[in-house]
Amino acid sequence: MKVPPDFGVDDAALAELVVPNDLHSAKEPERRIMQELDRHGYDPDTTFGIKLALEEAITNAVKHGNCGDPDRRIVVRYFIDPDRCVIMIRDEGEGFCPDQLPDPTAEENLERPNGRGIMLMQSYMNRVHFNPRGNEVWMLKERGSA
Amino acid sequence: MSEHPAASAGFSLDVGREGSVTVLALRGSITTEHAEALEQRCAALIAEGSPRIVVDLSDLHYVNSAGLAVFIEAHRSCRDRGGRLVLSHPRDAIAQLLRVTHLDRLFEVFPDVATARRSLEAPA
Repeated sequence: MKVPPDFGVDDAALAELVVPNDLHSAKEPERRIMQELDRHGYDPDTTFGIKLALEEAITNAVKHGNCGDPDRRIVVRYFIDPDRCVIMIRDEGEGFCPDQLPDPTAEENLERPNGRGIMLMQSYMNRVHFNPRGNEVWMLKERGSA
Repeated sequence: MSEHPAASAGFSLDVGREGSVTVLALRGSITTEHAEALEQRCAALIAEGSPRIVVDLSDLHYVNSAGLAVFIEAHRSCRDRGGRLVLSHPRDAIAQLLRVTHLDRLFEVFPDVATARRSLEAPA
């Protein structure tokens, strides 16, 4: 799937990394993205939110999408300029339906240890878009936006 | 090249005892790789008979959902043993995270360690 047209980025402009399915290997694309954010002077609050959304998406891909299978891979694509940060994470799993997840902010769910990842992605990024299968997520953060 | 604290990977914790209260000071960034060790440390503290815990967040710059899960589990564990786990002096970004997740409805959050400690020492 190409970058959603409303993200305002040419698909050919995105960098791409393919990494093994483990959280340690996923540190490299995170490091590169954080480095680019710093290079473009993104403020600490925005950086915090992007880092959080990225880690939640990667954790979901590793643990849930790829089911922890070390033979699977994760694809990370990203584009960062002074105005926006675009990140894509894709796993090789069967996918899921993000609309069918319980609300982690509901009173009865607050003591659940897990289930907050997608909510955090949606809270800290301006747009979060899943492909129909549910194994690929695109996230956009527009700099200077809430 | 500057690096914002939230982007760094370092994490450390200090454990102090002030009367019957344990103060757990967290520093740096809690990511998934740190969560398991933190969970084990918290479980050990609680098992040793320390179910009154203040988690000092004044020097914690970042935490993801794996770290939040550790706080939630430790909070429940303390409560099950007749104690409490409370949070102290979160930085703005962490305070905002607690609001976004509505975990500010689960955790008691105090402005400083002294106030949090007095709350835990007060008769029930």
